[in-house]
Amino acid sequence: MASHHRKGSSGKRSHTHKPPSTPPSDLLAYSSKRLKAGQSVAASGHAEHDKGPFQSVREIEYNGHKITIYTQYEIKVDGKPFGGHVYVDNMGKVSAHALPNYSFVSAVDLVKKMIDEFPDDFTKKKSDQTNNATKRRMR
Amino acid sequence: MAVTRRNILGDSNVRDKYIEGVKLLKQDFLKQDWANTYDIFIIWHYHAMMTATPPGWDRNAAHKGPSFLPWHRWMLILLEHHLQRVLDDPDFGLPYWDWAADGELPANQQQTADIWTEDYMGGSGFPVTTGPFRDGQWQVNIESRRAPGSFDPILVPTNRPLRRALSRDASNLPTKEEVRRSVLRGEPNVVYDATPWDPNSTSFRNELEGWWPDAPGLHNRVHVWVGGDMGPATSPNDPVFFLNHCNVDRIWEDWQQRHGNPPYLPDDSAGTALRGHRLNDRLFGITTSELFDPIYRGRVRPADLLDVSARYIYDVF
Repeated sequence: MASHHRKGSSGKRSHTHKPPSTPPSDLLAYSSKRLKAGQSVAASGHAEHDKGPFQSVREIEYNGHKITIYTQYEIKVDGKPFGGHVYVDNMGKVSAHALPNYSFVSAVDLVKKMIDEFPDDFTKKKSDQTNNATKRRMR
Repeated sequence: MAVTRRNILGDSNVRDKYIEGVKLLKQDFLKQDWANTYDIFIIWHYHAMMTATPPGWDRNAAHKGPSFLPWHRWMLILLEHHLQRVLDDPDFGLPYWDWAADGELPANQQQTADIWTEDYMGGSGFPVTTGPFRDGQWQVNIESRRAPGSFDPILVPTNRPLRRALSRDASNLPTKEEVRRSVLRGEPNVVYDATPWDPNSTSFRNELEGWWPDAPGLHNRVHVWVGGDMGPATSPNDPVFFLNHCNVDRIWEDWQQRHGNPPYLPDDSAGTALRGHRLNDRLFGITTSELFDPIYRGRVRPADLLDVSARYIYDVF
């Protein structure tokens, strides 16, 4: 059985999987330089993904039959879509790179944990809150 | 001559040297344009974790696959080398934290065990306010954040104290019985790793890493139980990271010796999808510079890390 991400799917709902960018020849110097300059560092050895749905693929052989299970989530938080890698294992548990030692019984628990662990990343902008309040008043 | 790695709770000298050493590494710069030597381990760990092998798969260059144990063994050997250098003590051996011994305590006593007291690693908190790594004594310079619009993490510079959330996300540490089961599983036909070579494998590596049979187990459970900075891909931010991995390495060494050095798997006949994990594949390095890695120069294979008896031994299994 293998668990991996589906590559190069086509269609509107598919997840675009680009080839990984070429890693800098010296990852240490590259990362150090950016961090010292106050800049972020994204993983270079990982495939880049467009925002949008992702698809985890499980391939299992059972009694001479090959079973393939595709799992695709479309996740929005406060109406904003979130991409990235979310994997499902044989037990149906869900995991993501941001919390590498965790696995969750459902994607709901994963997203809740993300919000708990990275609260600053999910802070609502004041304008969003104002707009929502305005919409409620107009109803 | 091989150094001896000891239980941090049984030797106050090695404890004090470890604490002094990691703090010295935070002030140590091997090259002007590099991060400090301690933080290099954080950067390396992040990039290894985010290097899917092959691209698109859950397995990465240092986790969720066969290379998990040798890759972290390499990391510990280099940390030990740099600690020996800054401490000017070639006999210094990394300490380990035998977390399964604390796992024998009642759940409500585990977070007040000796390891979390003032003289050892300090306690829990956002920020940690006790012990040698409390606010003002230890600085987190690099943290993991979400990439915009994604659940995938990026590294960002920061300047903040250490965070821990002991027992918040897991009620218990692993127990001695759980460790014993993993070491003896399948005896006498023990298996280092097995297809599909990922978190679904029924194997010693996968059980010790903590994906099977009940996640989070063993190594993963310790990360989850400690929480805070031990959670994300930048988990070496907490010096407890290395105490955990030294204990994981000790369990692997116990397994190897107890069973007469079973073969590392996969061997070189495995397909290219397992590149980076096979016996003679090169493991994921962060630099080939001798300054950081004077031992292997960034070029090391699992095969080079199976017999480490010339470098170190453990005081007890």
